[in-house]
Amino acid sequence: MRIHSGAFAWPLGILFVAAAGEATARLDDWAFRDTPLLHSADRQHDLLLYDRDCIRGRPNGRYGKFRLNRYGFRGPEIARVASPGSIRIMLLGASESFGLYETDGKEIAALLREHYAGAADHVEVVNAAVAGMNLVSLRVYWDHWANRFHPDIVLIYPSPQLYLDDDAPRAPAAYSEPPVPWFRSRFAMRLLDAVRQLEFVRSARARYAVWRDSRGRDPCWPFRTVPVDRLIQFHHDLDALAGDIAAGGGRPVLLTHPISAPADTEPRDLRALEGLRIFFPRAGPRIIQQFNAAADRLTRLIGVSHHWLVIDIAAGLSGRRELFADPMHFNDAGSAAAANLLESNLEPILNGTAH
Amino acid sequence: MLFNSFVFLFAFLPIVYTGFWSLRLTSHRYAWLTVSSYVFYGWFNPWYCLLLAFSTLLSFVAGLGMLRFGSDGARRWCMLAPVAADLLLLIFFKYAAFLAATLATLSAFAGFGWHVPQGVSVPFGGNRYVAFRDILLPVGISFYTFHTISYVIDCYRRTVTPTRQLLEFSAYVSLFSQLVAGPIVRFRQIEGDLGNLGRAQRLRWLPVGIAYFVYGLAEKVLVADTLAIFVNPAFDHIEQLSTLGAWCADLGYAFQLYFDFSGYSSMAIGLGYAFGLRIPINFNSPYKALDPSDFWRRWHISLSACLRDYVYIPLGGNRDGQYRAYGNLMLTMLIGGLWHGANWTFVVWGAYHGVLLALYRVFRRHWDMLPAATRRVGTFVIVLLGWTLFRSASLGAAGQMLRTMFVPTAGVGVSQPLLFAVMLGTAAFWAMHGRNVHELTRDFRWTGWATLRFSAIAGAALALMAGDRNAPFLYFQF
Repeated sequence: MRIHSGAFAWPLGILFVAAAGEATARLDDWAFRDTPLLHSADRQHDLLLYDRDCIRGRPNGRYGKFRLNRYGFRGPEIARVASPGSIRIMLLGASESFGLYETDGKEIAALLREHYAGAADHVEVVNAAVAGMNLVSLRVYWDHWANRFHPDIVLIYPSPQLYLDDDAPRAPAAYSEPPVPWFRSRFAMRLLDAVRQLEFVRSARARYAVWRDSRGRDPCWPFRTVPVDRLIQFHHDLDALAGDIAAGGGRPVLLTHPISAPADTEPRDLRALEGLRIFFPRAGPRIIQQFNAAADRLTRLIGVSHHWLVIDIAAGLSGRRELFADPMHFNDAGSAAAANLLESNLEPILNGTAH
Repeated sequence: MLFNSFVFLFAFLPIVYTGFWSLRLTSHRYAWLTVSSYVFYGWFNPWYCLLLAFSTLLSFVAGLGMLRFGSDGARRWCMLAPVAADLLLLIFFKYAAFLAATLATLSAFAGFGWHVPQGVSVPFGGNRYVAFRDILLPVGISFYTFHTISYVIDCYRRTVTPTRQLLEFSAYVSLFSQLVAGPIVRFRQIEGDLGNLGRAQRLRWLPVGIAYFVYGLAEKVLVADTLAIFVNPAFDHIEQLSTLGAWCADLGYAFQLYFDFSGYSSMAIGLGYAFGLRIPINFNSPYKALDPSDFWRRWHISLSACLRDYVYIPLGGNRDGQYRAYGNLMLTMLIGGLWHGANWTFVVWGAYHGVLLALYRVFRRHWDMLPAATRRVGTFVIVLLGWTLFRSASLGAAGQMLRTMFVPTAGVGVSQPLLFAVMLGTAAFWAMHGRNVHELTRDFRWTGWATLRFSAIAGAALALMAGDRNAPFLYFQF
């Protein structure tokens, strides 16, 4: 049989592309990312654990460049309790703090860890951020899991844009693990991730999301002005989370939320912010900017009213496009700039906290 | 836009290919290739297209001038004006910061008290001051400048007849397959195929084109980009490396660079074939070279040939005695080094190869008596040491790397040593013992096994590209 003739050639060729792609993706993950060869879970299962009380990082989770330790935190292994005489800093937040776009080891927590590695007083930095966590979920996560690690200082890096979702954030009654598929193609997942990164695909998906979610809705469904009820909730949730941390003996430190284009919007910023409508179809670019600015003001107010330290990284880094990989997330340079700001602002309280 | 990107593979290339072959007239195909190439180039930065268009137009008009004027004086001006303009643009965009910094240092060192400007005022955009170091190097300017300069000089030498068709010339200069990182194709090498573009047959060269492209993809994505995972972190932390780690990093880089650039060249050649244009080869197993001279006949062949024809021979070549020849060789290699980048590391790297070539000429009889295996390994090692200069960010870093390699030093090695050894062994075997892409595609016939082989390579490459293994080509920076 001449396999290159006629009907056989194309299907066989496509089959070989798929088989070689799948084998290579699995070998690559196994060789460079410690992922078991026959592992078939997706990103959500690889990195997230839905236990009875909260969503948290999956112990020893692996996906792409992300590696979680036995407690489900990104970074090296830690003891449950910090060694005597050392200071434990915990970073609490969503994907911005977890580190999506930075090269592995260049995310904020890793840079802080590297900075303090040579310090005389031992300082330990734990990246306890979980992608997609709003403040309501973070509070549940803190109460049920993160507080068990007894951090001395907790950096809270909230993501205000998560309050612009269709429904206001609320804690689910119970978390249950979605079923793990028996097979999921790692090659297909890689291709899908790569295609989703393309700007025109992102923009098309955002347009589709707006169209899909606004069908049959009230014309007032898109936010026309900053939703005050969501701001009030943001204020309440941040205040409550920081209050819980303080009540547990930790020292909350609030961070403002920098974005690449806080006000003066060029067409490329507009496109990038419009792209976020995949996640927040109700909020256009202006609403996102204004909501973010208002949330930052509230964060500063909470800090002042409770005498909690506020590190205003938004004031220092917002608008510096070269530091961002997308409107909300840092690239390597942004992460380094943020880490520098944190280091200099934390120095006085670290000196005060030193055992 | 990178050849190893999804936009190029699944949007740009299919559209350009289909459009090209659906056109019949030669002039339409020239126009289509030109427009597509400007889109390709503008993807990096649309403003760069203006420079490309200016350089193209100037050389084209100069060619027409040479047709129009018979006197030697007028023809010489037609040659000098575009060459000077191209070189000035190249110097401004590529070397201004380097020259200004060097002059300032020299002035401070010698106490001359010169005021060396470190930037220029730009008349548009509110009379802004732009520092030389902030000027972005337009991608591929070193390559297309070579295309236009070689065309004008060849016209002046009457080696080629200047073309009267602007579209043909602009298609040649801007051809996307070799625009940003070569091979440096001279007009006379491609003139015949360009002239026959309207009569080119789509399927005649397509199988060979696909073979070149897929093998090039394998060289780039499977080998070079995988080696980069080990090499880049090592070169980023030279001060932490052990002696073994430094040798491993340098070896890894030698093969990373080769497969990266050879992969790009193979893809460029494959793309050329797909459009009916036969682009000459650029690499011929350089790590199988038996001496430094042989190495330069196999490495970046198109650049070596240009340096020989447009620098070394005009300087006098070896016509005026051996000492003059050594001087010409040195100067040619210094220019070749500087062409790669505005950094002293490249200058010293060029000088190093100039010295090697001169020494080889002096000791040729003795060297050639050695067994072939010894000469091959010896040549590889001296080339390898040169790559340390080529890769390092500064002369200080290169010195530190060489010191670590030769003075036993404790420190860290490359990450995942077993995996690195497997990758390095594979790369070394292919580069030093296996058949290169041209040998693999010689007398190529499309069979069922070829379909399966290329499908498997394409699948593997796609999987790695989608997994963030799609780094820019190393030669883009030059």
